[in-house]
Amino acid sequence: MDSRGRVACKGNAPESKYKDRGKVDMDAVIQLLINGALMGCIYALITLGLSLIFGVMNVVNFAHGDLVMISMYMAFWMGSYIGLDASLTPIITFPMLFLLGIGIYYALIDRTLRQKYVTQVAVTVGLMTFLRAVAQLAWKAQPRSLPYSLISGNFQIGPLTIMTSRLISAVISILVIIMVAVFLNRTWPGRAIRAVSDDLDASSLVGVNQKATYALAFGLGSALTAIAGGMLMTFQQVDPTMGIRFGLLSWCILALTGLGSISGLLISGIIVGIAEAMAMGFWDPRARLLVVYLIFILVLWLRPRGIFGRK
Amino acid sequence: MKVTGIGKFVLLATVLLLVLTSCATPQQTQTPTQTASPSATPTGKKLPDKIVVGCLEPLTGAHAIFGTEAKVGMEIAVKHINAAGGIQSLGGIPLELVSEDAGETADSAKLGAESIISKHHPVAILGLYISRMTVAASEVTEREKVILVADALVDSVTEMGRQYLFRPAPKASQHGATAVEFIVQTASKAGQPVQKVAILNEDSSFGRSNAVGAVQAALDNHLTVVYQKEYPYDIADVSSIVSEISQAKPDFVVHCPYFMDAILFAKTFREFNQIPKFIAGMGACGYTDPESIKALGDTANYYTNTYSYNPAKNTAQNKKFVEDFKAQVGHIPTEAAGMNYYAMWVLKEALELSGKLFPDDPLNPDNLRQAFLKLDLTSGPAVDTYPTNHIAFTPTGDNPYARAVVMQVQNGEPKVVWPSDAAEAEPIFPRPDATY
Repeated sequence: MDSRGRVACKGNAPESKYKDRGKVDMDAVIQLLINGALMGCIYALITLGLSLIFGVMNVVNFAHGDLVMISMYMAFWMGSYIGLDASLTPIITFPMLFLLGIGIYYALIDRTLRQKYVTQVAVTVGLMTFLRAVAQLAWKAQPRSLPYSLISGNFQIGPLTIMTSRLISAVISILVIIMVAVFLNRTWPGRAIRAVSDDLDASSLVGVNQKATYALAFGLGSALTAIAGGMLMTFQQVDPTMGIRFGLLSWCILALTGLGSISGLLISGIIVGIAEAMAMGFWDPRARLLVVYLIFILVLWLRPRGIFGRK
Repeated sequence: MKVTGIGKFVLLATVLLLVLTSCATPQQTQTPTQTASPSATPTGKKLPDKIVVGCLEPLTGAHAIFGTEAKVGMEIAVKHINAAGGIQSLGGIPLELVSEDAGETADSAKLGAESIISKHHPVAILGLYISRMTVAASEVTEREKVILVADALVDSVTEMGRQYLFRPAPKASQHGATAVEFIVQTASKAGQPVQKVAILNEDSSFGRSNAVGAVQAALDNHLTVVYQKEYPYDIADVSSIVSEISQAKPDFVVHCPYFMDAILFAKTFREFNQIPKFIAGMGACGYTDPESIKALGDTANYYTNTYSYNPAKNTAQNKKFVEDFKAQVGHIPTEAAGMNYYAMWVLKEALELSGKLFPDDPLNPDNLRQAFLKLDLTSGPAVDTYPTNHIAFTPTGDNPYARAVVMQVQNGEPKVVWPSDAAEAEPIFPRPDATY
């Protein structure tokens, strides 16, 4: 037996059904594809907020994942004390996170926009640590979870099992992404955000209030984490250190997408979700991040502006 | 040499002070006070007024959940020991607990050990729950010759040749073996013998040690391991693992999780609705602790886990501890608290023995180490709160008589269900919600 205790059962323990004797079980592969794609849609929603902030202000917000974590804790609170189902908590947490985002913008980000890049990084890393410490103080280090959700359960399609919470979360994520795309393309504030993102000086000349538009983008980017956080809490737990996971993952998806393509963001999210699921199923659960970061490095190396990037 | 006026005054004052001090000393020793008698050994070596014991636990960071409760366990133990008359073989010297945060990394643990030793000079340190932190801190305690009573369970902690390290609790591989043996015996008793097992563990050295014990016990019991997987504890989605397990169709799953992944697995098993006859935790993290039960609600029912402490042990000392802990914290003692409660009593017994065996220098680390090695406890407060009724130490620092107990969540409450002589309820086997 080696230090991992694996040799002892080598003769009688198939490592994975998916690669048993070189055969590939297609049902299992499709199951992995579905699981990965559904998670990928939620990842895309998280990344949309980051993309708005980075695309408009050119600010690298390292605290974005921790805003997801705070949203999940707020969903936990709403679920525990008001009895609201996690999937419905964004009704309350969305405006709260919007206001929090605007507060963060005016208190921290606005002051660093004309500073050196390293100052912005230091401020958002500081914010990340601050949010984590606040979560630890408020909710302690224990993982928190809501025991029930209206959207839990599963349904079968032949040999495939689709988990309801993942499916509904993915559908809501796609709907929200479409709504944000409509907002950016069809409404005046949305066009202002795009204009500021494309050309700051020209947008100022046509009367766009740059500061208010930045605040709106930061608020909206933060508020989107409330929807993702609420949906994640229908099937996951939250702990103070989990923000970094979502933060780094969303950076990978953003690098894969590039800036300026919302549909590209959704596709990239699904690619990363499927890559994660495949790595776990075919290889090893510990290879999950290896595969994701391999994609990240390859994209930065071969196509630095991302697969769908406009700039 | 010419002595000035001021010099004469200083000289005179010093002589006067010395005379007064020499007169006062016999008067003090004759005064019948509670702390006067333990102040010296038979050969005149001065003993301290209090025996300082260090609590070096992760009080902040990701592992604070364990450290804070471990500290409460130690505090209650010190309170009980002092109320019972302190270290009687040393004339009733009370214990004093000083604490230091070990942080969440090996480096911070090492710094914590350096700090607590240099500031307080404790005779022993209890801690640090996390194995890699224990290994790092034990480099310091070994160098400084300070006894470390460890509550970290990874097997290798006591396999590094440390001289001043003792671990009363059952090691991780004993937890893994306990989980398998519990199910094999319970299934056989229920007339539904099991044959196929799936083994899951998070990929830390703790998870691996548990899995090693489980694999060995599975082989010893002629079971077939149909699935084995190691995964990172911060895994975000376990649906693919749960779906793989359902395809391998084991009779039961033994799982060494951390807290967050245990919640994720339990929820995913429930949502997938592919549940084997039994899912047993090993290593005391997740499923059956109060916070996990709160987080999982009904989903926590029927899950088990192995523990190094039995909160249901029917002894007066244990009941007293459970009551005091509940009054202070609001729930029954967790494993971290229980392990450190009895560890403090084990240290107390070692100090008592050292006082008897080495009255000239009972607090010398080498003498205290000898006392630990000569301990053979079958009764008393340490045993009354220990999972088994026998505490002794091998030269490596482990208790060969250690054994874990199994707790199962029944109607939202954790109940000790195995071994049967220490149980407070019958195990529910198989799971009523099993689907295959």
